[in-house]
Amino acid sequence: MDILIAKEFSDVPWGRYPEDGDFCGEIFREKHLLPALKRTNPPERVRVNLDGVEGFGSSFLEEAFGGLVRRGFYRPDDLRKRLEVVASKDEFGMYVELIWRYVDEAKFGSEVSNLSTA
Amino acid sequence: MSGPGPGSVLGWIWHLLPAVVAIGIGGFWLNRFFVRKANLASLVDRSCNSIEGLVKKCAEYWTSNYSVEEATKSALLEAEIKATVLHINTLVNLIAKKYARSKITEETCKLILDLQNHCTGGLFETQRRKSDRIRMVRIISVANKLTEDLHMLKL
Repeated sequence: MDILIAKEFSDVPWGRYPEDGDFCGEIFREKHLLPALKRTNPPERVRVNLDGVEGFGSSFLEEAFGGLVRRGFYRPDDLRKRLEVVASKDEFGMYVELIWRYVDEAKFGSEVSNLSTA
Repeated sequence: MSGPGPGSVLGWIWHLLPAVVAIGIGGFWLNRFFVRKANLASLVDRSCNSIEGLVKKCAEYWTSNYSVEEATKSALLEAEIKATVLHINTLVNLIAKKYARSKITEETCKLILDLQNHCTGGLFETQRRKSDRIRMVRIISVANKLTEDLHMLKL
């Protein structure tokens, strides 16, 4: 399953929490990423494509991807089996590396989820 | 195969030809070497100027709390900071690709990730943003290390 952020979410993702706007990391995680991950069974993987976005703030990336671990949805090794992050531009490789850094650094279940788990 | 006789004009040209060709080829490579050096230096300088500009923007952004009155100004700074980090990353990628792939170390790549992380992490683009001096110290430190690494490429 593919998620093209620029097309299916926003080409200008912005902020961390819903109070920061409709295109924040938490909304992306809850409404797009998590439902897609729940519908996928390894070895099938969700492929998130970063192409076409103007740029990412680390706060967005950490909330969207690191948040999956912090809120106890997936452990980092489990997430690697289910998720693939791609970008065709060399420059966006920085974002791909950072996403996995945030996933690996996040403490599993350190924030109890009070959000929708749909 | 023997060339024209020694007394003729053609003979002179024939004997000078290897030297002229050698000077031509040598000149071409010498020129190419210095042009490449100059282009590399120019890209490094542009990257360092961008890093300097980024630190100034971050200093303005990360030394104040979020406020509704300054929301537009903050949004502009946020867009500039994100775009500048991406621009620096693009320039360093270009330097690596065209001029100094073997000289761009893993440490340099890690510094760019750290720069993006410190400049746009935490409560960046949020209404909960607070003045964060520790983050600013980290930004300055990473920016200085990255500038040093890039200047080393010119040597």
